[in-house]
Amino acid sequence: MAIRMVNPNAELLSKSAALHMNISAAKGLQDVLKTNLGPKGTIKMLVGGSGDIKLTKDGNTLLKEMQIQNPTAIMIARTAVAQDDISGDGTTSTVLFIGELMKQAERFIGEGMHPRVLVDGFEIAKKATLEFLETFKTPVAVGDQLDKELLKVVARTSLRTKVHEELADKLTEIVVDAVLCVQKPDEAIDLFMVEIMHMRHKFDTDTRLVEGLVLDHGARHPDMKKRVENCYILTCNVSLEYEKSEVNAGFFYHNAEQREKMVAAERRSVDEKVMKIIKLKKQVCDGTDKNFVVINQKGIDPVSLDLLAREGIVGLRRAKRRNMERLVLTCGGEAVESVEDLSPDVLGYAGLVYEHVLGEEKYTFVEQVKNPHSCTILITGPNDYTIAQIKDAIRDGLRSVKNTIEDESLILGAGAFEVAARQHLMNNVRKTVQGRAQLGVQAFAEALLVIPKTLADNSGLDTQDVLINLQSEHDAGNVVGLDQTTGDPIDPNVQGIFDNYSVKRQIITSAPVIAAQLLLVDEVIRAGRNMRKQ
Amino acid sequence: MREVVTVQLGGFANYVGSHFWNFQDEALGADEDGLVGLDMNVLYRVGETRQGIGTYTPRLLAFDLRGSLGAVRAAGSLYERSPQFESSAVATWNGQTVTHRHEPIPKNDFLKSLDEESEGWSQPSVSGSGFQLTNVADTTHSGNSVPSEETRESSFVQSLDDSVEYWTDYLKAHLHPRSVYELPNTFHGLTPFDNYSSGQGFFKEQEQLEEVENRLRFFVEECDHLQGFQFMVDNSGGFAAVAADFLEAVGDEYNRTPKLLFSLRPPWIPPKVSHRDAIVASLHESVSLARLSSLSNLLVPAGLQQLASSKFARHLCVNDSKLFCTSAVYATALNTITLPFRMEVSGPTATSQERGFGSSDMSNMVRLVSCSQQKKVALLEAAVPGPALPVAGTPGSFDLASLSSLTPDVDHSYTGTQAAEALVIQGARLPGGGGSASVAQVLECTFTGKPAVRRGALSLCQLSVSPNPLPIPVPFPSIFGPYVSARGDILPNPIASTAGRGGLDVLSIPIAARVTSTDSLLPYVKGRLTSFRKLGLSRASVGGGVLEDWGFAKEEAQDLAEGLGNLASAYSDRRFDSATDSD
Ligand SMILES: Nc1ncnc2c1ncn2[C@@H]1O[C@H](COP(=O)(O)OP(=O)(O)OP(=O)(O)O)[C@@H](O)[C@H]1O
Ligand SMILES: [Mg+2]
Repeated sequence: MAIRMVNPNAELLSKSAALHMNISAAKGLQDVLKTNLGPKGTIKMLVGGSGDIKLTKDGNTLLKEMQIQNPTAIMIARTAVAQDDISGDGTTSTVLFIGELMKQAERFIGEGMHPRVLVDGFEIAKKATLEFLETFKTPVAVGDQLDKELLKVVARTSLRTKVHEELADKLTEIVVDAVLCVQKPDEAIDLFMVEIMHMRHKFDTDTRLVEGLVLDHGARHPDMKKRVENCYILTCNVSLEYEKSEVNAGFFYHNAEQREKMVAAERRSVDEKVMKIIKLKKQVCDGTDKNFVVINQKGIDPVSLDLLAREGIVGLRRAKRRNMERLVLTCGGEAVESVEDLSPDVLGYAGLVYEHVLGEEKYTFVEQVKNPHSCTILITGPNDYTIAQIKDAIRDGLRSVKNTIEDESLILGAGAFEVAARQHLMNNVRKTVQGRAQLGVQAFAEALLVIPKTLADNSGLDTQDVLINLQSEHDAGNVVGLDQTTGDPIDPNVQGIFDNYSVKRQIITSAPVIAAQLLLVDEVIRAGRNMRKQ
Repeated sequence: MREVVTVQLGGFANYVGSHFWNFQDEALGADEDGLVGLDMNVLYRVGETRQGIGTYTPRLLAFDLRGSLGAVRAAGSLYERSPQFESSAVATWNGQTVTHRHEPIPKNDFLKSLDEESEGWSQPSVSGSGFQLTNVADTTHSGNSVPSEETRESSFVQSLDDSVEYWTDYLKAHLHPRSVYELPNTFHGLTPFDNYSSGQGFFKEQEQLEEVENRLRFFVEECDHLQGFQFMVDNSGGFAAVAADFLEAVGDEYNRTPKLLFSLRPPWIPPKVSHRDAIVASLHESVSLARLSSLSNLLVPAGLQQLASSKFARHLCVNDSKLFCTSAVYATALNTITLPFRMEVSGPTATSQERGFGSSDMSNMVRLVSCSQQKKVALLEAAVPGPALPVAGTPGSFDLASLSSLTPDVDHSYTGTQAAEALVIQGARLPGGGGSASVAQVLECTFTGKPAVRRGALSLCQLSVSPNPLPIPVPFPSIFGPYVSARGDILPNPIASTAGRGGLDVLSIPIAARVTSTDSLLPYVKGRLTSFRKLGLSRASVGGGVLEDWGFAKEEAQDLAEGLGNLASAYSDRRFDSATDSD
C-alpha cells in the first residue's frame, strides 16, 4: 500500500532524489500550515472558481480543501487528517512536526549520515518522549463531580485557537454544558447526542444551547397547532402512509374489483394504526390539559395527518434516524417500532413544543424537558461559511472536553510540553544512547521546538530570543510556556492553557512513523517490488 | 400527487440530468397553456426564498466531484446571492486573514444570458408569488423577436456544441441549494475516479452520511405520496460505488419505496490496456451490476460503446467524444420512458384520453417490467425521432422495429417464455408530414395493453401514449441529421442546410421508448457473471487481488457471484431458432 501513495515513479528516481523530493514536499506542506497555529494564527479564506467561500483556521479543514497533488504531501495530509479523526485536534501540529523532523533529518543526512540511523534515533526518542508525557501530564479527577471550571479552561484554550476571544468564551460555556448534559458516569461520551443545528439569518449572529431538541422540520397539516405546552411525546418509527402495494409483492391484480379491495385493505390498515395512536392520546390526555405530539421517523400521509389533527395531535414525519435516540434521551419514554408497543410508559414529556419558520424552512423546538441527556447547539449566522466555521470550532471544543474527561489528564500548552520534552531528551536521554543514533535523538528533540517557535513566529516575535528565554527559564526549574503577546515565559497552569493528553500522544506517536517512511525511501521501494513478485 | 425524487450520481448522469431538466423546463413553459396533461409537481417542489419569492425547483439530489460545476456555485443563486469576500466580512476572527483565490471560472454567454433574465425577474414589479421559470426558448420559437438578439442567441447557443465543459454549462433549471452535493476530498480532473474502488467508503464517515441522508430527507419529508426514486448513475467509474453505498445506507429507511435505476455510461474507446487494467475494467462492470441490481428494484443499463456507429446514427449525428451530445440521446429516452410517472390519470373514455393515455405509477411499472422482482435488469430501447404512424391504422402495425437498444451486449435471438415491457409513445406523427397524431390514432395501431403474443412467448405490455412531442430546448446539441424536420418528421429529402441541427432548428420530435425484461439481456448479465467467476473468484489471480484491494473478502466475492448467478438465471438461454424447434 505504501508504495502506491509515495510516488508512481519512485522507482525511476534515484534514492537521493526521492529522499530530497520527500523532504521538500514535507517542508512545503509545513509552510502552508504554519501560519495557522495557535491563537495568533491566520485565518484562511478560500474562494473557489465559482465564488464559493470557505473560511477556516483549522488544519484539518484546510488540508481537506487543498488540492494536493504531490504524493508525499498527500501521505502527510492523510496522517494529519487521521490525527483529527482519532483525537479531534492537533492536525496543524502534526504537519509541522513531520515537516520539522524532515528538516532536521536533512541537515544530518547532508553531513553524510544514513537515514536508517536517524530513524533508529527517532524511535528511541519517541519512546522516551511518550514516557516523559506520562510524568508531565496533569491528572484530572473525574469523580462524581466533574471540575467544570477546569473543563472550561480546556475548551477555551481550544476554542480561542479557532474564533476570537469573545465568541470563544461564549462557546466555551455552551460546549461544556453540552458535554455535561450528554455525559453519563461510566459510559463513553457520545457526542452525537449533541445535535448541532444552524439557521441562516441575515443580521443575526448568535449561538445558544437549547436544553432539548431542535428538529429541522415542522408539522405538515395546516390545522396542527404551532405551539403546544405540557406535551406527551410519542417517538416512533411506524409507517403511517398508505403505500400502494409494495413493489415486491408477487401478484398482479386480476381485475379492477380486486384492485379496489386491495387498496381499501391497505388504507384500512394504515387507519387502524393511526386510531391506536389516537386511542392512546385519549387515554392519557382526556380530562387533562395535556397535549400530544407524535414524532415519526417514517412518513405520515395527508389522510393520517388529518385524523391526527382532528384529535388535536401534532404530528411530525420523517424525523432523522438519530433523533429517535436523541428524543428519548431528551424527553424520556421509548422509541416504538410498532403500534402494538403503544402504552403510556413509552411516552416522553416536554413542557413546550413550538414551531419557528424562516422562509421555507421550519424548525420545531422541543423544550422544557426534565433531566435531558441530549441537547442542541443552535448556531445562527449570516452566511454558510461563517456558520461552517463556527460549527468546526464547536466540534473542536466538544472534543476537547470529551477528551479531558476520558483521558483523565491534561498537558500544559503554549509550548510548555515541547520545551520540557526537548530538554529532557537532550539532557537525560541522549547520553544513554549508543553511537550515532544519538544524533537522531537530537534531531527529534530539536524538531519538537517547532511548536513554540511557530507560536512565537505567528505573534511576530523573535523566535531565537523567545527560545533562549524559554529554555533558560525551564532549566531554572520552572514549567514554562510562551506568552504570545509579550514573548515572555509564562506558566500555562496559571494562565489556563491546556491541551489534550490524547492529542499530544497521538502527535508524538504518528509523526515519527511517517517521517521514517519518508526517510527510508529506498527500503519502501524494495518492499514494493517484493510485494509485486509474490 | 405522486412525487418522484430524482437522484443523479456522477458526471455523465448529471450531463444526462441537465438535458432531462431542460426538457422539463420546456414542458413547464408549455404547461402554462394548459395543454400537456402532465403533473409537473411530480418532479418539482414549491418553495420560497427568505425574501418571500416563490421558487419551483427539481426534487433533486445530484452528486459529483468537487470542482465539477464550473462557473456555477453548488448552492446555486436562487436562494442566496454570491457571497461577498472582503476579508472584513470575517466575523469570527480578529487576527489576520489571508485569502486564497482560485482563478475565477468565467460564465459562458449562455449562463450570462440566464443571469440577465433572472435579474429581470427579481424586479419587484413581478408579483411576489410568481415562480421563476427560466425559459429562454419562447422568444426564439415565436420568431418575432428582434433579429440582432436572435443572432446573438443563436451564436452563443451554437457555440455550446464545442464549448461545454461542465454539466452546469447548459442547465437552465435553478437548483435548490440542497440539491448538489460535492464529494469531499475529491477534485474534478485530479482525483482518479475511474473504477469501483475509487468511489467506495464515502459514507463510512458519519458526518458525510448524515449530510446526504438529511438532504434526501429534506426532499422526501415534504412528499405526501412519494411514488419512488429515479436514480441516474454514471456507471463508468467510482460513482457506481457511491451509488451502491448510498442506496445501502438509505435502504432501510426507504425499503418500501420503489427505486428505478438507470445505470449510464458515455461512449468509450476500449483503451489498449495492460492486462491488469482490462481486468479492473471487467471486474468493475460485474461488481457494479451485482451491487446496483441488488439494491434497486429495476436496473436499466444504458450506454453503448459507440453511438456514432449505432442505429441511432441514422437520423442523428453524434460526436462520441462530446458528453454534451451523447448525454442528450440518453436523456431523450429517459425522459420518455419516465413520462407515465408524471402523466395525469385519464379515464376510460376517449375524450378523457385526449391529453394522454396510460399514466402509471413507478411501482406499477417496476413491478410489471421486473416480473415482480424476478428480472431486475431491463433493457432500454428508443427511437429518436420516433417513427411516423403507418398509413392505415391496423392494430399492431406500429413500427416497433424502429426502436433500437441503448443497452449494450444484447442479443435478440434469445427468447424465453416470460417478459414484460413498458412502451411509451409520445408525440407520434402522421405519415407524410400529416401533422401530429391523436392519442386515439396511436392506440389504434398499437396493441392495447392486453397480453400480447410475440414470437410465441407471453409478454405483458404496459402502453402509455402522450400526444405531446418532446420539445427540443434551447440549448440542445446539434445532433439532428439533415432529414429531420422542424417537427421531427423524417423527410424524404435532406433539408438544404448542413447536418447537425439543434434546438434552434428542430422544435420538437416524436419519441418512442421501451424498457423490457426480455431474454435478449442474457448476454449482458451472463457476460458479467462469467467474467466475474473467471477473474474474481480465484484469490491467487490478479483479479482476486484486485477484489481484495477493493475490500471484498472472499465470502463477499462469493456472494456477488451468487447474486449475479441468480440474476442470470431469471433470463432464459433458449435461442429463437431452437425455441421454435423444440416447442
Ligand atoms: N493562549 C495560548 N498561548 C500560547 N499558545 C497557545 C495558546 N492557546 C493554545 N496554544 C497552543 O496552540 C497550539 C494549538 O494550536 P491549533 O489549535 O491552532 O493547532 P492544532 O491543534 O495543532 O491543529 P488544529 O488545526 O487541528 O487545531 C497548541 O500547541 C497550544 O498549546
Ligand atoms: Mg487545535
